[in-house]
Amino acid sequence: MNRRDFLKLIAGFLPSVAIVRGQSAGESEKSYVMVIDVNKCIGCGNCVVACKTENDVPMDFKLSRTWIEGYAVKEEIPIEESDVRKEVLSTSKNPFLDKSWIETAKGRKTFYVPKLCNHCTNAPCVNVCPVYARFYTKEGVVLVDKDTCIGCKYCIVACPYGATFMHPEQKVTDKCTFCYHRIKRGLKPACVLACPTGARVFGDINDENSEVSRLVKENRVTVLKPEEGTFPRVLYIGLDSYVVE
Amino acid sequence: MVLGLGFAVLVYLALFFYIFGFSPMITSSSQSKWVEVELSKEPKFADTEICKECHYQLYIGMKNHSGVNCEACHGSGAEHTIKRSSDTIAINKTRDFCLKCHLDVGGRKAIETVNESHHPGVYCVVCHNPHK
Repeated sequence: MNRRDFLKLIAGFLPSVAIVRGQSAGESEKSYVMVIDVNKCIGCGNCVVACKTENDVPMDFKLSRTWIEGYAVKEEIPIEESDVRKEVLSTSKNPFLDKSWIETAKGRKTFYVPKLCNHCTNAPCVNVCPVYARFYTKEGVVLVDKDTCIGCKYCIVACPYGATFMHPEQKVTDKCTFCYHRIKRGLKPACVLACPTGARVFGDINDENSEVSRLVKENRVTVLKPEEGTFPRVLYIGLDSYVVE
Repeated sequence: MVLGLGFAVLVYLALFFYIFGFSPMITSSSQSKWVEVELSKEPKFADTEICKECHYQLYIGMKNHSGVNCEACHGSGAEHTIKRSSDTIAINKTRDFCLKCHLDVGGRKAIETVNESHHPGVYCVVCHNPHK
């Protein structure tokens, strides 16, 4: 082969390389976020049941990939610890339908905050994992590689939101995946589908016409624990300052 | 002694380069494998878009619950989309089921609520049609 042939060969390769790189760049343009309107959440627990059904988490296990925190706050200033009553819904049993909750909620400011893994852009669980079992996908979703996970629970300690837990049957850590198998098929995550009031909205923030872009443009959104520097992908509308956790 | 030390250094270097250079976690081949495992899971919830293919009359007749997905009340329906029999989908007509959302427990400003004194003991579906 002389020099001219060699250069021709190289020139032939270049466009194919460009095509492959272009494809991967096009795929990574999506950036998924979830917007949660706290004013719309009614604390029915449909999302918790749907998530546990979809993702094989035992129904009576007290931890869940998504859960609802209910707050009943007495309107007094200054607010003390005893003035805030907090209950957590994480199984199919709904504590908000209890007599004691209804009695407490009377005359108090009551609201429900759905919580899940925040899919942080700078995730502490990814940073601390000693075996690189946690990683970001191209769309920004944080996933757990359960084949590699050794169950050391460092991520449970590191997560500021308490979104990671030990799966009681698989014996590895488990957390919300934004229903990765569903969103890649073009379906909504199970919790978004099951929400009767539309409190949870999921979509691509890079798409100008999507519902989440509209909500983020029109409302004041906030994140949980901004001081942690995690830059979450779960944004809240109408979040109250009593939600300190 | 030199031979032993040399062997130890060799083993150390081999492990070092494997762990920090060639192991599947570092080269992220285990991660791309896991993405495929994750994608191979079958969804258990379908979508309202799929429900409406068969139940179109119910879908267009909806007024109050028009913003609610079918599977919010009827549970996971991917099995029902294949078998299409009434025992594969949950139909719950009890009062407690409606009151899961519509009981006045405080903080439910987004929807209409009732308390226990509203016709106690009567099933809601006797008077109210959830599909209208």
